[in-house]
Amino acid sequence: MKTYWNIYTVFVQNGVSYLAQYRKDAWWNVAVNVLWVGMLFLIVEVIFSQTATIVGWKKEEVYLLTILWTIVSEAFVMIFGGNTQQIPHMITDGDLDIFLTKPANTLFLVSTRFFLFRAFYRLLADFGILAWIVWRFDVGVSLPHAVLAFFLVVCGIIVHFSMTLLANTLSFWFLRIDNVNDTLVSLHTLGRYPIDVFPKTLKILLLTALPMAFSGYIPVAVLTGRWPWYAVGYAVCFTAAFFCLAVRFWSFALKRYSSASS
Amino acid sequence: MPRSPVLVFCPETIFERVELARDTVNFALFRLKCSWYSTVYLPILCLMPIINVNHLSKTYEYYKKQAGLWNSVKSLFHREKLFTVAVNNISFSIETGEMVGFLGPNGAGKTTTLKMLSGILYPTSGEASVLGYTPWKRQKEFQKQFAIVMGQKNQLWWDLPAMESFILNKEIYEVPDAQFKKTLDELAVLLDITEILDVQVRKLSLGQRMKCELVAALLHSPKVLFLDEPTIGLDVVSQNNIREFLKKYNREKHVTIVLTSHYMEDVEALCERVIIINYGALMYDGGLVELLNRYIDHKLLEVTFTEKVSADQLKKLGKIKERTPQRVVLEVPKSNAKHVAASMLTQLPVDDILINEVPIDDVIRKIFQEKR
Repeated sequence: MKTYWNIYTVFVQNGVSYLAQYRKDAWWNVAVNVLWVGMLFLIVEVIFSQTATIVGWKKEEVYLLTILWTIVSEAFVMIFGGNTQQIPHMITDGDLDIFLTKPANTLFLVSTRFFLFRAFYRLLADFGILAWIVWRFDVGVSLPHAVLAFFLVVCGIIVHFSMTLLANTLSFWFLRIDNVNDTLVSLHTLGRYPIDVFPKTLKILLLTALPMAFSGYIPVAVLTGRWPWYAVGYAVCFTAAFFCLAVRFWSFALKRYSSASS
Repeated sequence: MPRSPVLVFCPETIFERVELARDTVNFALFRLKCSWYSTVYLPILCLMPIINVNHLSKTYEYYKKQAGLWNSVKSLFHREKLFTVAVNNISFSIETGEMVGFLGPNGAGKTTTLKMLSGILYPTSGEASVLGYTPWKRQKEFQKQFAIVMGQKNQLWWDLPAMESFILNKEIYEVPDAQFKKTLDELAVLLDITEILDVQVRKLSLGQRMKCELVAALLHSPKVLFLDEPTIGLDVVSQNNIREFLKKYNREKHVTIVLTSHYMEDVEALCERVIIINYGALMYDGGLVELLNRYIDHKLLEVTFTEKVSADQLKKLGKIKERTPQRVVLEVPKSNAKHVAASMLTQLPVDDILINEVPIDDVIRKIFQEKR
């Protein structure tokens, strides 16, 4: 465990070194991100100018949903984003070779090697916006609820990672599936809506086979009391099972790796 | 009354190797089977090869697709599956400290073999052990004891100084701080890269990058080193630097090195033993000198004259390979080379004369052509 911690520390340090090489890009990125979140809020504002609630969801709750979804997305990008999406290229170009020879878990090395530090800045900005929402709308959040929500956000990140890993692992069979990540990004946006607005079948799908609801809906549902606290049990079990499935699938696929000609 | 042990006198049934000790001294623990159904464990020191390959094969599958739009559309629904045998039933073994050249034309199966021996690929059939481990099981203990350098692939982080990659490898291989510092200092001096450790990799020359790749691969002091075309694309000076380093490193550290290269100078300078494969099959395994003796029965006499010499005069002495009015390269039987040289010195206006071995490139080419 200590070894993996040390390796991850180097990854983070390298992320900082990388950022130092491209400082201006980092600030530009933060500015674009704040603008992007602002746009999302503007859409919410426009919708709620026409109605007081959407399927029982108030404006501040949708704001909360939007920012928690953004936090899950940014945290995923910071830790795994640039890595898992590179898997298809690594397989077709044979870049996976060197990772397979290292005395450390290949999936760990492949999926965490680039720590995108500029996303960390964006994440800080997102937490600032979250604090503002809690203060501005006087969202009454008890400490246990806040802890649960944080825990569910972590589950959301793991589920999002597992989904991305499952999809990208398919590239061991289908070598050119670059569009899979574009599709995932599109599907992922479903997580920033109150999924109660969707038909029942789609809602069930978003809680199971395409678990986008984990990226925002479930934490906010628990936080606002829509879901009872013991629903966390489902979230944890599902997250663990989904993660194990993704890792098993990766290990199975790795045996099919045929590298690339030199 | 206890029964006396009776050995079954069949080597395969008397001893069953149950575990290999993972060390440079090859050592095996055998289980001695006795007829009274008890077992005795015998640690036996033996000279086992550090790399052992038995009937190893690798077949790739691929799909055939003809050119053109219509054929592309057709291939969406049906395509012909084909198989190519990259490595075909090869067997060899390598002893500790050996430096072996792995030769063959493009697509011969050299890199595939190295990838199987380093655990990157699973074989289709056959067995191999490196340092007592099955490589494709990818055991951590094994991976800590070998390294692979691929001339056409980077393990260094492109946008960061090489030092950052070294530190990462230190953590991955769990190299203690003091050992890391000592090894890095040694290697940096040997390869003359002290000044470039903190320069971004993308700003280094190809030769400097390859030196850094070698350092990254050697920081954990591997016992086996696989080098896949380590000098590819390098200028002659850099090639020579890498060769000199490898020679010295092998001599001082007794590291077992398996090297593939298209530059015969690499093989001649570094390897006493070569393994030649073509179309996945092993064609030769032995000494470089024996290779020359087996396949080449002649030497080359390179002669320059002080004045023009006619072709007729030269034809009597040997087969003309190259000729200008005042220079000739003659092919003469090995046993006769000295005699012909002496005759030329007395009969012709010789300015200079050299008796050369046939270039190794030509020998290899001849083998490939003969066995095709």
